[in-house]
Amino acid sequence: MDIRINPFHELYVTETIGPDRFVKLFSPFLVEQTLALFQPGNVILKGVQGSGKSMLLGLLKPEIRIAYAKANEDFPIKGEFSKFIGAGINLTMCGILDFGQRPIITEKTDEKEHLPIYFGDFFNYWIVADIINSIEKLSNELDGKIARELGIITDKTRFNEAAIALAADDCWFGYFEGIKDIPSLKQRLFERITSYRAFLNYNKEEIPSDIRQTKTSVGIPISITAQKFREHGIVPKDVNFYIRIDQFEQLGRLEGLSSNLGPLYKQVINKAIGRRDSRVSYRIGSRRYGWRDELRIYSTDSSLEESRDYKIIDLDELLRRQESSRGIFPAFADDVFSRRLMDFFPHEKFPIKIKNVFGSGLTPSNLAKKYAGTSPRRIIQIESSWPKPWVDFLNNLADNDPFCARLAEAWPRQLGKEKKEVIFKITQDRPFPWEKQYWKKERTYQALMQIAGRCGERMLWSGVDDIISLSGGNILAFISICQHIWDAWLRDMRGIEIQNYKMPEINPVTQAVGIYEASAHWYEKIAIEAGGNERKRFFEYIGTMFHKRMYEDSAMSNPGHNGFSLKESELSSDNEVRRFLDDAVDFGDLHDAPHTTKTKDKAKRKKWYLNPILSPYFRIPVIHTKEPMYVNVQDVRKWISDANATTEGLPVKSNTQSKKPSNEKQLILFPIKKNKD
Amino acid sequence: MTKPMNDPIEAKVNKWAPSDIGISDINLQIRYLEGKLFSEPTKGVHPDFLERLNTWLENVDSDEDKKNLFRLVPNLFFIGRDEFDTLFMAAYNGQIARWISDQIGIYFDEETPEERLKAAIANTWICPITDSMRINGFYHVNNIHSRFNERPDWLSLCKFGSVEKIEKYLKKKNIDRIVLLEDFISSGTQVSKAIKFAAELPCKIPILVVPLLICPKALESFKVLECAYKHITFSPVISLATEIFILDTSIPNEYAFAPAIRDLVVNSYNKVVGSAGPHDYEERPYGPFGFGSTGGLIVMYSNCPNNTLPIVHHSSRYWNSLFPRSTRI
Repeated sequence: MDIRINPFHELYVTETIGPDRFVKLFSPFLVEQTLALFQPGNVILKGVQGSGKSMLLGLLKPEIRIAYAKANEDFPIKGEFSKFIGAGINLTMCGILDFGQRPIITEKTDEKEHLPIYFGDFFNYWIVADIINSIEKLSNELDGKIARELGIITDKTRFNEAAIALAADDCWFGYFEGIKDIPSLKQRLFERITSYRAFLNYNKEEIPSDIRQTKTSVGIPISITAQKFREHGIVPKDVNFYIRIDQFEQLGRLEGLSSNLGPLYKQVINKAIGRRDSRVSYRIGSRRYGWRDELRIYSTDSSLEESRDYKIIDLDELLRRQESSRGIFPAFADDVFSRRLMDFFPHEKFPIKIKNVFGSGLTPSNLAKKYAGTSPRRIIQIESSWPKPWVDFLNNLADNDPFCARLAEAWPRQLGKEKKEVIFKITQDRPFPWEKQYWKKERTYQALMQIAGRCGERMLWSGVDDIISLSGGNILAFISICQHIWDAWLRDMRGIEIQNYKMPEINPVTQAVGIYEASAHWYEKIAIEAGGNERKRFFEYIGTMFHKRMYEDSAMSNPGHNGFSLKESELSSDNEVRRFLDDAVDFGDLHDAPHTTKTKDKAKRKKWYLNPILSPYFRIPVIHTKEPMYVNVQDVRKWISDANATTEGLPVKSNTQSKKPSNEKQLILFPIKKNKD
Repeated sequence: MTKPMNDPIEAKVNKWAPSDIGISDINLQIRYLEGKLFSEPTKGVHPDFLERLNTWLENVDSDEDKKNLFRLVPNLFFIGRDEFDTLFMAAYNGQIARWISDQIGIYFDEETPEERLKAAIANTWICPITDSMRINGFYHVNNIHSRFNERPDWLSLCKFGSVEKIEKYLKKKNIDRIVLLEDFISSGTQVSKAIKFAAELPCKIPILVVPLLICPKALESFKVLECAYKHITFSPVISLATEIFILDTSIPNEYAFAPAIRDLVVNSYNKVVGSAGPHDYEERPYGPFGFGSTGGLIVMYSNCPNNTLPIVHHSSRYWNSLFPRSTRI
């Protein structure tokens, strides 16, 4: 294996990799957290791009289960949870999204309005064909080992009897008349799917009349299929049928003739879910924005209800670092990292930790020294009113410990008489007052950002902790960072012999180059998604604003101003702003979280931060500490407007109090009566 | 505490990056172009592109000048072998096919236009203007099975050929029209002689002149020729815009980095030509802005044109070129 190849070159390992690679690359870390996927009941698996949805849903595929058995690897789903048969549909790959690209018109009626029914019918046939396919695969591969483990019995007679019984059911409206065995049933299923595809691609004049007159109701044939296979003793009662629906968000992206059909198609799938049918359970994989607004059930006045009709597994919530703990992401990332490298370094001992390659990063003190270089005194800004002894003290401190000197410089600028006195009562005893654990911890990254800026240096991100923080709980972001670091390392090793098969230890400077490039790449790719250009302008605006405010905050009073906070009540009154922020969160560009307010009113608030991977690009700290900027909805509206971040030109509602971000501690000298708007 | 970068280019970019936000992007662009284009040898055996790039940046002392040179690199218009093949196809399916269609009067509603076009092409003599045009490549890429074994370059013909013999050949081979191709025309001085020679053949045979790439100055002079000879048509595949040249004076819409490069080109000219003083130089490559003061940024895989900025292609005792030019290739 040529180690000049980047092991992280392939960012996505979903549908494109074969089952054998899947077994090698899949990290089972998330399985324990997502066990609901392997229990009866409908589940919506949502997450931003690259959060691992398709990998998890992949475990439901029989091919993957067989690949684990062939590789003599333990299947990651154990015991009771492993008793299932998976079948499914990838909405992008199967051709179902072509419904609508050609009108369906018959002599009697314009059937455009019937397109959702055809959509549901195609869905039924595809899934039923896949259920049979799954049972056959499990029974035939490895001499039926997995089928035996599950208690699946597919002797020819029994299987054919089940096929006859299934074909005779009313749910098909007679389409399967004359079916005598499994092969003829499969052939008929295949014919119907092919007829649809041929018509939608203009290879057939019309949809054949035997299809037009036998349209099925979404979900029912699927449940009947499960029931018949159970009744005929093919599938035991304790084996569940899980139906995968992947790439659900694609239904919101239909264009042209189909542009209005997306919501209707979603309603059709909602109808299958809303049947609350214990015979089968659905698993829907969707990006966040794909599962949000459309919960109505097709041709009814009902809507799906969370908990009753389905459960949600939010991968982003699961993986993002909680305020109180580091969460499971670091261990998950370590495992993914190790699996990626395994093929490239066959002589290394695995598992390999991220730390083995990227190290722990530099300490704040060393980072400050690196930024300060040979002129450390430039990192402090002296006030003309400061007495000479204090200035001398700061300069001397800067020479030896620039990081500590920057903290010292900020200390007397803070509020409080006691803090100001330090410039007259200079102490040499350590720890210095500005080295108090929490005060220092909260300001470490702001101080480093300011030191880098004052020295004209780019912030140097490196080491496992920085990489994990910047990944923001998103495995795609993590792999992308690794990819860019590895690229930078390979570039830097041009002309230097790389010792075969030895795991590199990549130095912090090279890591920082790769991390910056990853950050810039993620910033650029915001524009790719729907509405991305507008959002990108908004992030440019607020990212620059955060940097400016934090950089100019020489007292370091607001180390948390790399995010903003709004009252939830205020946000719910402005649909446009709420929608804009929701979109940004759903596309993964902003991260949101509820938070405890420090203000007297104790009103519920929500805070937003830029996707952590954008921090190097905007030169802002990644850590969320202390209070974010407290603003009101008018401030956000103004940012959106100033950034020209909306195609409709979101108007700024008149509000004279909102020219500056609000500071609720600040009393207003001449209160103005609020306009009713 | 931390090791610096090993690679000298990476080390430079890393040093410049804090104060120059776009420089990392430029580095990535150059790396991309190096993989796709720049690694094609310009001629003979040379150090690899990245080594040449580093040596080239070291020609100048200040970081600001180095950065300006660095910024120039992704803006060089490099035409590799594949790009020329594409230009061959574009010329054949575009300029030539359209001209012949007009010549024989093919209309949209015809039932078998392809056959008439094929027959007309069979009677069209496609030749190069100079020997730098890879005419066999043109025939090969376009799968043209010609009945003419002779495809002389017309610059040689005009010097050594006989008008009578050419006329006799045209008649004997039933040639209805001529297409003259040239890969790159900068000022047109050299090729004009050949075109005039063809235009003045007594038979007044229709001629199409197709430069694959043409500079603005040459385009002007060809317009004059076109007026003088009504049976000649000029139809370039790519006409280069004035704005993509670095001229000796500023022009509207020029590249943002043009003023800095202009200064650099002028200030470093002595170094470029290897001069240690006013009367000491090895060879003067036509002036700081290249032949005819064109200020071109074109580099071809086969050679670097002489009207490209000498800082790009000229080597001397004090200057290492980025894309070395061989004279008279």
